[in-house]
Amino acid sequence: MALTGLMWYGFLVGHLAGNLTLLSGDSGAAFDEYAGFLESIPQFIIPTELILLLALALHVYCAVSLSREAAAARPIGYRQLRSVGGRSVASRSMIWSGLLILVFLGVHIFTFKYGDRIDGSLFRLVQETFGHAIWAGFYLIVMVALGLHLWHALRSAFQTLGLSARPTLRRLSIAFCTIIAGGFALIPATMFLGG
Amino acid sequence: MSDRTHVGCGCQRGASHEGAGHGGAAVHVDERRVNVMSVRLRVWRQKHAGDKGGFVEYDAGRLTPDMSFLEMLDVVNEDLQRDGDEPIAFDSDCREGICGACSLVIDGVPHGPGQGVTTCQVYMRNFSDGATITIEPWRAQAFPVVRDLIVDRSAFDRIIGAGGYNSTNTGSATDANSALISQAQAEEAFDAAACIGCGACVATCKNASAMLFVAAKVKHLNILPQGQPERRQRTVAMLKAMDDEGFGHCTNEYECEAVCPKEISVEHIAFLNREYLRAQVLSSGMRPVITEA
Ligand code: HEM
Ligand code: SF4
Ligand code: FES
Repeated sequence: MALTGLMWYGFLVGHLAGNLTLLSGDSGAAFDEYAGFLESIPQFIIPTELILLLALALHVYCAVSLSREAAAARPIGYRQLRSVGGRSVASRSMIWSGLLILVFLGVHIFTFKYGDRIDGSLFRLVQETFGHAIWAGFYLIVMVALGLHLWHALRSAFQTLGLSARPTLRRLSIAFCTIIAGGFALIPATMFLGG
Repeated sequence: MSDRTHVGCGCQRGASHEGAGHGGAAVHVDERRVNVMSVRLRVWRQKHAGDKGGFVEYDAGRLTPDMSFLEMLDVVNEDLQRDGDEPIAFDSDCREGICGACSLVIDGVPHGPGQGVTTCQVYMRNFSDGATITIEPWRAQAFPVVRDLIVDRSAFDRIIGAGGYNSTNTGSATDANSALISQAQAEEAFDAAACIGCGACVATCKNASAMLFVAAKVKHLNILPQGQPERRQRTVAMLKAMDDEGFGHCTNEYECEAVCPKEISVEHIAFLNREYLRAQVLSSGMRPVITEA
């Protein structure tokens, strides 16, 4: 669970860094160049995609069996169960934020990777998509879910891998996830407002 | 009277605990002199393991804020018995926070209000006069209800049986100072060994996971010299026993730490995960280590 998830953290950092070129204000020259560069190195991209896909499949498999085991471990619930410890919106909703991310991944790849580029420019396609309030809104909602997932996931992974659970690592998780989710959210938000 | 076997639970007492059963601490209240309060209880009643069970409400009067929560239940039970009704069955033994027998979810929190306390250390002054209090048993597949608020926690004993022991030489006792242990290490082992096996950690966990309990039981042996021979085997075997008993997996919410009456830290879970990885990496992790006498 932790290892497969952490592989995606690597992807997210790279993906965000590349995508921020969308906001460079040069009508997409830098971004289209970056996209072209990625397409010119399939010997690197295709294995990476396969590894990420495999990791995701394992991750989802583990996630679904974890949730089912948890349900089986308490067949009769409480009338009342109050949180007095570390439960958070994020930790409570991991399976739901996760499933939303899964749906999003499908939609996202379909619209951008296999979408029709405008005059051969991926930038124009992204710009056109985020011009619609529905698309920009959908992306923003998913980024909130992503942020929550990454927040609990990171501190959880530190603990699963036998590192400490102490406040420094918890704070690090919050900071890191805010940067990632916030960074991604900045793209549809800016492009929608900037037109 | 509790019928649990106290394997490695930290309880120093023998098998017979005289006069500590239900009703042993009935309090007689002189209504003219003390501050009287009353509460409404919403209690889970279930005749036996196979019974469907349900909540029943009771009005409890003649109480004082200085009564313990269990004494309040004793008073309610006296009234029920006087009226020819079945008293509410609940576990308790030492009534001083050391045995781990008492186990009630009070208003949604295992061991009720207050940090670092067991159910028997909760007092009526924690509730306001006229309050409605919901009382439920621990809920987990691995802790089936025996009757009303009593659950069968022998799953914990079986986890202990899987690895919560260490090899010792028989014959003459070894010199007490032959195994040197630093003060810091002894303190850490004691912190983990403080677990009384009550099961509150399981009761509150959204996955009904027993990780905090297993972590405490593994750690206090794994960091001491006496625990080294079975170190890897213990870690793997106790975690496997936990899975086999039907407890869920830990997803690191840290609710357990907050309700634990002995304030066992989730740092011990990080340690357990580390020990598990270590046991997996060192290939003999699965092989029982048998030390020749
Ligand atoms: C970019 C995508 C994703 C990343 C980076 C990610 C990352 C992580 C990480 C690092 C963990 C921590 C594991 C641990 O503590 O052992 C985790 C847990 C989890 N993930 Fe994901 N994940 C992603 C997508 C998904 C998806 C698509 C699902 C859909 C089912 C999902 C469901 C879960 C669940 C249920 C848990 C753990 C349970 C819990 O701690 O409550 N994740 N994730
Ligand atoms: S870890 Fe704490 S809550 Fe869990 S069984 Fe031990 S004493 Fe009870
Ligand atoms: S009755 Fe022994 S700890 Fe509460």
